Amino acid sequence: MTIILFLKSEAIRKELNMQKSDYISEQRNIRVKLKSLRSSVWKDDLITLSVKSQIRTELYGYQQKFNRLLTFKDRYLVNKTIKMFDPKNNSFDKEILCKNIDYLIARFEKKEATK
Amino acid sequence: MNMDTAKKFITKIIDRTKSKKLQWHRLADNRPGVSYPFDVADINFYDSYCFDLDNSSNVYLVKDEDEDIYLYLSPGNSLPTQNIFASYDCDDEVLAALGLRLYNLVYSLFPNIDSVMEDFINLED
Repeated sequence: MTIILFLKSEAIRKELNMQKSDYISEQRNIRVKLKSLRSSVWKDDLITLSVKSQIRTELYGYQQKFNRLLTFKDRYLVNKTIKMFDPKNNSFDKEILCKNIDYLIARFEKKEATK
Repeated sequence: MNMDTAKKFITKIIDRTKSKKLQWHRLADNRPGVSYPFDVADINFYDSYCFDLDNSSNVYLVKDEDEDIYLYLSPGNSLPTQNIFASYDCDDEVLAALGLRLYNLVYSLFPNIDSVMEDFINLED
């Protein structure tokens, strides 16, 4: 039992380190992409399928790549933002979308320490 | 390259594109197959757009297969020589984000192929 737990925790530790490494190398580009999409939505009023698809793809990417690093609040916000693009959702609030993107931009300012 | 000047330059391009004072046209290669009479946004492997700054220079907006976006300033009709920025390689985050924003805006100017087909189908004979 102890060995199984040890092996599991070792696997999690390795995954966490890998995600931290990816995070550090990608966080700047992620901020650039989010800032550009926020400007497209807010300043250029572009809520096209292409922009929605880009935002959704980014968010799904964060769920996959950084699931061990994101806090509960981060994951909740990512899920909530993805749901905004649900075709069944008739109302779409630009301001709330931008507010959520603001949070994510700030989130990706955070430095992650690696061993 | 002076980053502040580049930012002002791209911001001005964005503003003039939105007010339709700048006309963009597409340069990318077409895939083999039926060619449509309209410039559409999403049929190509990579995209490049251009407008004439004045009679003697061009600005090219290019997205390559790795999704990097470049803005080139080309004096005269020669090949682009002055790279204004590359979206992700650019040191300045604000400038890089401006470039991506410009790309989204220019891309939106060209209709989706589905809407083009629908409009054509609905044309009255």
